[in-house]
Amino acid sequence: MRKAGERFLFWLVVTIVLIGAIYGVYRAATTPADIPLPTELTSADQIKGNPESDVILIEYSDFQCPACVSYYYLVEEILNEFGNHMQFTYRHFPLKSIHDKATLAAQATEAAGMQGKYWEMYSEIFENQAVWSSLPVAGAENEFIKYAADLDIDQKQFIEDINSSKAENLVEAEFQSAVEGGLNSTPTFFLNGERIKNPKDLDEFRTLIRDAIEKANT
Amino acid sequence: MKKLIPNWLIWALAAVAFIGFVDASYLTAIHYKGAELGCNEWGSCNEVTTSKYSVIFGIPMALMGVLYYLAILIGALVYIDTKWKLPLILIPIATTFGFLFSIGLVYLQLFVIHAICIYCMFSAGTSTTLFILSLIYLFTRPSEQADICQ
Repeated sequence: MRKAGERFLFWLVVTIVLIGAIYGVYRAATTPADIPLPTELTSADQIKGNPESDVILIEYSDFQCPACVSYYYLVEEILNEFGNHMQFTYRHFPLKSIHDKATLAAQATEAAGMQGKYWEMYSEIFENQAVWSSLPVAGAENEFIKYAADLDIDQKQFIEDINSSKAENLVEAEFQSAVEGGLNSTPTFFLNGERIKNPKDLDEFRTLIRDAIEKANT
Repeated sequence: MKKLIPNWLIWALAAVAFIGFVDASYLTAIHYKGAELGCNEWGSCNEVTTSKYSVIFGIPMALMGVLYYLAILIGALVYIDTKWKLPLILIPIATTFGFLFSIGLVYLQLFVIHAICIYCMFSAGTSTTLFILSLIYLFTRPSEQADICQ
């Protein structure tokens, strides 16, 4: 028979290993599995434009940021013109401390995305920023639910999804990607893996994209 | 006293049960967090883990796996510590049920859900290994009679 001290040590080690394993597993499960690099697309990204194209524009943005709305319209113009020759993805970087509804808006797009209406909700939210951003959080949520109804999204499912862990994790993964990438403002653009200075106007944006397309074709 | 089970075999049972415990715990944590499984490269994990078969009588299948592997692990450790025979009787019974259950779950993935979850297949692998280790024990153990004669 083993000594009491040895037995105590044995069960102490077993307990520590089990607690360590449970903690490790919990951490692994709660850390977003794939924190994307700001410079690369992942399979989790929603794509607008031509998914086969080598010209990739990634935007880190915040739905409640007024400057981001201006760039939303610029990006829409760019995609209208060059959509066949480039692909665009939007990543969430809600500036939580100054924009109290930005995270919820991001989750609303993810909830709509679960029903295949990511980009439709993205447009609704940007185009109506002036309406929902002045409301309290609950009011903004009701507004998003209204947009969902306008977009023929199953409302019951949308309400369930908007505050789900799944939507939270999707937004958090992109937020962490921005933080780890050292970003501190929105919008921030990456064109073909390189951070670009925000173009002053549509013409400057056009030139940047046109150059990238020409470069990709040569 | 004659050993009822070789050291390597009981430690192997404990080690494999521990690996199964970690795997099932991960699936359980994912279930309760509602998070995405990071394994889409290898298979459609989420299709399996969010299917109607992932919960039985309100209990997530993964949680049952946690309890199963933990029971085997504790049983093996209790034997290592005390040399009490009861875990050696219960472990082969439990691992047989675990193995049969795993066959059912693999069947569901392949032929009903038509998607494979790598973590679930891994768990099927660990429960099969536990079953094989139990068989090795059953077929190589010294008989009770011999034990008494000594």
